[in-house]
Amino acid sequence: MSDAASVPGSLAPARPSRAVSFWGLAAGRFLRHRMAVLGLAVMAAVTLLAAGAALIAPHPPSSIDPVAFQAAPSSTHPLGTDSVGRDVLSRVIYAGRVSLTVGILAVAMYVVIGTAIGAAAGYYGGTFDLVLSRVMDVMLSFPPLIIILFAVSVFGRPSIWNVIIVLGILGWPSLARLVRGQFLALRDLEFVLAARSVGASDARVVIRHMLPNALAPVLVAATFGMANAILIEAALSFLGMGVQPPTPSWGNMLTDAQSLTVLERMPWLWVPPGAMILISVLSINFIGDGLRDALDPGLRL
Amino acid sequence: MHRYLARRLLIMVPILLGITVVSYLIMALTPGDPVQMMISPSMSREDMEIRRRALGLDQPVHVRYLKWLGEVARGNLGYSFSSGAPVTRRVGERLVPTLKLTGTALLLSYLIGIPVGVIAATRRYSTADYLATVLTFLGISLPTFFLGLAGIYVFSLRLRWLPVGGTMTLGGEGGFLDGLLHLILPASVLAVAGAGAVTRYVRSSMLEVLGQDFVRTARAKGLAEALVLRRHALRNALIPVITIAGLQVPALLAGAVITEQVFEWPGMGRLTIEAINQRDYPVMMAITLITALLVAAGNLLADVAYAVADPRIHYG
Amino acid sequence: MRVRSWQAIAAAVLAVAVLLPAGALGGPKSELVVVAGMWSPPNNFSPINTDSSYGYYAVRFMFQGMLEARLENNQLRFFPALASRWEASQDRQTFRFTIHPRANWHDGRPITSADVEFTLLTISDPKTQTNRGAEIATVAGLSTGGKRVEGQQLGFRILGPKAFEVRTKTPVDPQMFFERFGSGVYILPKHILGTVPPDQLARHPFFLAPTVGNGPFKFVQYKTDQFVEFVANDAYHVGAPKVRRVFIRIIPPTTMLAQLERQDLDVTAGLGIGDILVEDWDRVKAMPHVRAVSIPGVAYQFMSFNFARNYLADKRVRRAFAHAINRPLIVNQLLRGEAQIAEGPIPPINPYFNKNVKPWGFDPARARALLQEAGWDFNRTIVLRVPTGNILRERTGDIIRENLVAAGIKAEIQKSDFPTHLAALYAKNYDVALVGWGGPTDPDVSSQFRTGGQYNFTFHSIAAMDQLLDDGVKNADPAKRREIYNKFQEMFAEELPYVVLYYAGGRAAVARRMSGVLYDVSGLYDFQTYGWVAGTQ
Repeated sequence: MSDAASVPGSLAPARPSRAVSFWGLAAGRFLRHRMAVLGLAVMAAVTLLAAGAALIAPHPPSSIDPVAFQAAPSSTHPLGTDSVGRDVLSRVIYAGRVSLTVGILAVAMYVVIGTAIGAAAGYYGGTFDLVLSRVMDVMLSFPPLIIILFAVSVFGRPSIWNVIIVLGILGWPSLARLVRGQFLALRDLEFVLAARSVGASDARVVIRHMLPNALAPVLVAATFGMANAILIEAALSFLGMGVQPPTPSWGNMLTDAQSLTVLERMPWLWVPPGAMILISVLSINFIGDGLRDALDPGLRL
Repeated sequence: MHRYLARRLLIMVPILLGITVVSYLIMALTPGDPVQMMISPSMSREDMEIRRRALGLDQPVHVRYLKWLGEVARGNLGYSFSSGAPVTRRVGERLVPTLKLTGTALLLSYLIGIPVGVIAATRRYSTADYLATVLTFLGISLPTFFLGLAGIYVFSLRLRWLPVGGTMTLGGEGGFLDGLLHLILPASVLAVAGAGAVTRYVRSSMLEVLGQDFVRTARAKGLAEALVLRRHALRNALIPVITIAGLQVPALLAGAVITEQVFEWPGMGRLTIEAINQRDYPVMMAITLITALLVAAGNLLADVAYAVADPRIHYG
Repeated sequence: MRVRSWQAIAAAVLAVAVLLPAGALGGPKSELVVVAGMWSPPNNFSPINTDSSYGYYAVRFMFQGMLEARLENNQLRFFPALASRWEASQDRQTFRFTIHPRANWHDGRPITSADVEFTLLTISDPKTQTNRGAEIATVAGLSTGGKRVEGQQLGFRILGPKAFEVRTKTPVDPQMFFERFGSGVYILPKHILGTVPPDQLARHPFFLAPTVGNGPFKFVQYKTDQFVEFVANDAYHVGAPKVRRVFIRIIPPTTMLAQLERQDLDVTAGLGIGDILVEDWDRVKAMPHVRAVSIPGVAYQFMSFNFARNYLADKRVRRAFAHAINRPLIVNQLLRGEAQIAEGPIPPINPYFNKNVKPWGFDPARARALLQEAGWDFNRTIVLRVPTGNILRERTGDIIRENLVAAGIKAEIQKSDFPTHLAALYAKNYDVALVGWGGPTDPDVSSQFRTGGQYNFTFHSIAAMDQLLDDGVKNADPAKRREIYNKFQEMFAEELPYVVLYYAGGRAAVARRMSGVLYDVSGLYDFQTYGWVAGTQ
């Protein structure tokens, strides 16, 4: 296991000073992280599947089979058909486009914003923190649904980018609070004080010394956020934001599963999209684990 | 700390005010109209106009807002557009059930999440760790309505152990046991996602902390592993958990729409959705106000808790 | 000694009984208790102002009007509720009612003509918030919206403590009057509400817990978002109900099946407020202890055209859309046959239905030809607005979009929540939109199809149609009205302001232990609840 690569005794702040060897080592460590590599492979496969959907999917994703509504898997429809007679396999393949884009980009957006603001608030503290934190409070205070309905009317035409922007805007304050909490705890640790005392710039202290140590909960938040974003996307389409029918997404495919009969007797309506979300999120999680271990050798047992 | 607290409390006033202004504006600008949507073949055009005037919707937004603010200052949150009931009553009758449901769910998620997270961290990459990981993500990869339905299918329909929904048996006297039986399923469904999140946060920050100097030092000094974990590691690993808990304080009263709907639970989540669907502005404003207060309170509590968990944290 | 041990045993038994949850002792399941299920909670219990069908479903256990209207075999029939006799004068302008001599309020006070007058005055007061104005709009002395007009005499006369007459502005079809005034106006208790200023009425606590009603059941309690509880009104004027207690439980569509299977639920509330999901229908049909009943519907789903868009103003374009949409597919596959196709806004089970109007068949080739003929711009993208909340309608939207695309029309779906959807409609901000509607049995549909009508969301203005609609309202002779509305339905199919998609049927479930439930009554809910009988399972 990857533990073999750990360097016992290395201290948290101590890291190789030469960039080349650092990245080289990191890549090497990542590749020894078996689950991370597996995760990367799965994500690559899912992404390729979604990108090449037009070549791979047996049917167009929105075409209706007039004689097969909610039909069980058959040779024509290997994963059956949905509530309006569309091929589930084709839709699940196409759906990756929307779901992965939203899941990854929305989370990336709020992780970047949230980390930057949270880090600034936690690092500088004082009045600066007070102001930024109150901004976060305000953002967290509005009922998200009202914001979404309002945004729908502001954006006009629905598109996938609206979803990403809205999820980004709604998501950053929680993340910023998480990062701020970490920074508050880190900023008086010896290695940070040491870095400061040797005259390192704020940016360097924050990015090279503190951020890697604050990243663990961010990665957790990001993987959870991704699963959430994929599911919430469906709810947003419902309110008129984001992708509209007949464009499939894993989230909106799951809305077909709102009956006990479907749950019990028509698993083809919910297993495929549910499984895709699960394996994507798991993969991202393992990739995240691998990345953190790779970038931060000091933090392992 | 006292000065810090005083400052925090003082600053809440203008912020709350600002939040109400913006919410009121956003609400007014959101398409949809509380009278327009009461269409019915029995309702005449004049009925609609009367309703519009009676609800004050014929006035410009700023007038409506100032009137609302004036009433709130006197402790009157107004009357629900759709039911005519005082907003305090509509909110009030849902407070206890909401707290019961979300409180239990949160408690469950920490009771499960913290130990599982610690085990997963200390036995990293073991079968137990992977199992916890997969289960965690299974819980959040399926929508709540689906988990709720699955729970009902297994425990109410097949096993018949638990009731399908509601907070008490119809026509029954209620009582603690009856209430508990009705609470188990919705609270568990709600706790699934929460426990998963707590597990992941505890696991990752435990791993982080376990790698740090002071834990190593403690170990080197020959302290018992359990003591190291409890005294040193866990305590320091709690920072993100505290943040998450602080963020969840508003959720205590915000309720959980889907779970409440599936399980016929009289919660704030349903009230919120209902108010938004009916554009019931007074109820929406009251909920916003409560949320804002709780967000501020939750984050203040979290900040105080940081200082307790980690004495090195101070607020300048 | 003996006495003591007896006491101990009694105490122990008592303790066990107290500690046991009520459910463990068999719960409410008995011949005296019935549980009805509907999807959403009522807003309040105001007989003149509750906002939704859910509210009125609950209200009608406790409050009644003079009559009960019911569609049977394409005929609207009336049954006594509070009235024991009712009649129309020769000139069809005066209507006399006699209140049942034993009809009392739940507190024992008699229901009198003064209560009816009070109700009429309240609904017609320009300060009262109500949604009943249209029901009384024909009464003399009132405006077209059912509000009092200054200086005019209200067409109401008390003939005795239990007798009164109502006069209309002009002669009207008695069927229409009895349906709207007779069954659509629930009587308020004057002795309770008489002193409340009309502008305070909407906030009056009485409507949150109406302890004094006049119906077969009395209000016990409303457990927020969970259930409404009623108890039998033993003094009900035609005899005490056979069921002692009724609960209306708020059950989401998804768990109705589970509740039925567990025998927690006896009756679904009915069309549109408590139906069985299409997916679950076969399972309910297979349940040995449940009768699954298909109810023909009186409400329809339609796609409306915005006439303000000039590219939709050509009727050939609208016909092309009608030909393009595969309605048989929607009805047979999506709705599993539980719906009817018809062309107009008057339901196939309505006495005024014109069965000679032929539906536009599914014919994509013809659709394309018509579009070409009309000079349709095949590069234009039209937006189909779909409101969320009714999953079958949303799925219908998906099918329609594919149908339109197949006919060469570029179409995109825009979903939104219902208030946003309606706002777009009111603002003329749409191309085509899906909506549902169900009106009274009376065929007057002016509010939707007359120029400038209150619910004319198509914004069409067709002089000949206006003429027909006006004639239909003015004419008091049922035979002449039939002719007029036959013509209207033909014109409707010709002009196509809507493509009427289907009349969805109800999928109701009634426990087999129950009898006396009028589940087969078309579309209208069963309110002879005093006739319900619940046997043991």
